[in-house]
Amino acid sequence: MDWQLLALTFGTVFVSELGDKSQLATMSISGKSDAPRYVFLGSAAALLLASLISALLGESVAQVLPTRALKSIAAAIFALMALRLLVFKQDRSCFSRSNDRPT
Amino acid sequence: MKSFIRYKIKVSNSIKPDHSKPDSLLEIQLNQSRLESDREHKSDRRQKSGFLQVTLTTFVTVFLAELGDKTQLTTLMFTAQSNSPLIVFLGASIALVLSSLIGVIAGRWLAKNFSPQLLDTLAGLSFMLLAVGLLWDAVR
Repeated sequence: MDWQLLALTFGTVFVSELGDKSQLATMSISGKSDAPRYVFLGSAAALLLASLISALLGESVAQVLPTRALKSIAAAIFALMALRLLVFKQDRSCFSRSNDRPT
Repeated sequence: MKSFIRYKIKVSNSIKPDHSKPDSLLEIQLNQSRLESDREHKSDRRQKSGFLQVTLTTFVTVFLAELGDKTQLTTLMFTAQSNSPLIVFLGASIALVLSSLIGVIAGRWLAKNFSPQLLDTLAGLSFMLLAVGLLWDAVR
């Protein structure tokens, strides 16, 4: 076990991840949701899969997955959710277990 | 005699059980437990579908936001430099799980300490920020 490499990877990824997009997304979702446990589960699983993919594929990620197209789609989804919240004031979010307001 | 019979009929009429109301304690208890089990069943079902919905939507959202991100580039660089992708993956995993835990806790803290209206605005702004950031990544 190469502890130094482990610590180095952990430290670098952790620092670069703090306040990053995915953490911002996780924070907003968990603030709007009434099921933080499941938000954590989904978020952790997504991050693990993303990092597994990059660890396995290395530099060929962009060749295997259409990252630009996926990012554009994600941008559209986030913009839609932002509009729903800011302009239309619709509160029934897809991140809540029920349609009631999260408490 | 006639009047006595009429009286009896009257009495027996008034004694006849009224079916619109539960007439025994047992029946009340039965009804109550039936209602409770009904309610439990419903909330159980809702929780089950909620589990999938919340987990999946969060998964897709975070996965799309994270794909090709600078964290991935860091992981990638480490993988390329070292010959032990497993350890790199392990270190990155722990960091990512911890960071998402912090994200969830911070979100709960915000939800507890701010009004729902302000929370909506904050979440909307952060979603907007994410959209812009992702679009920037895609165009770049």
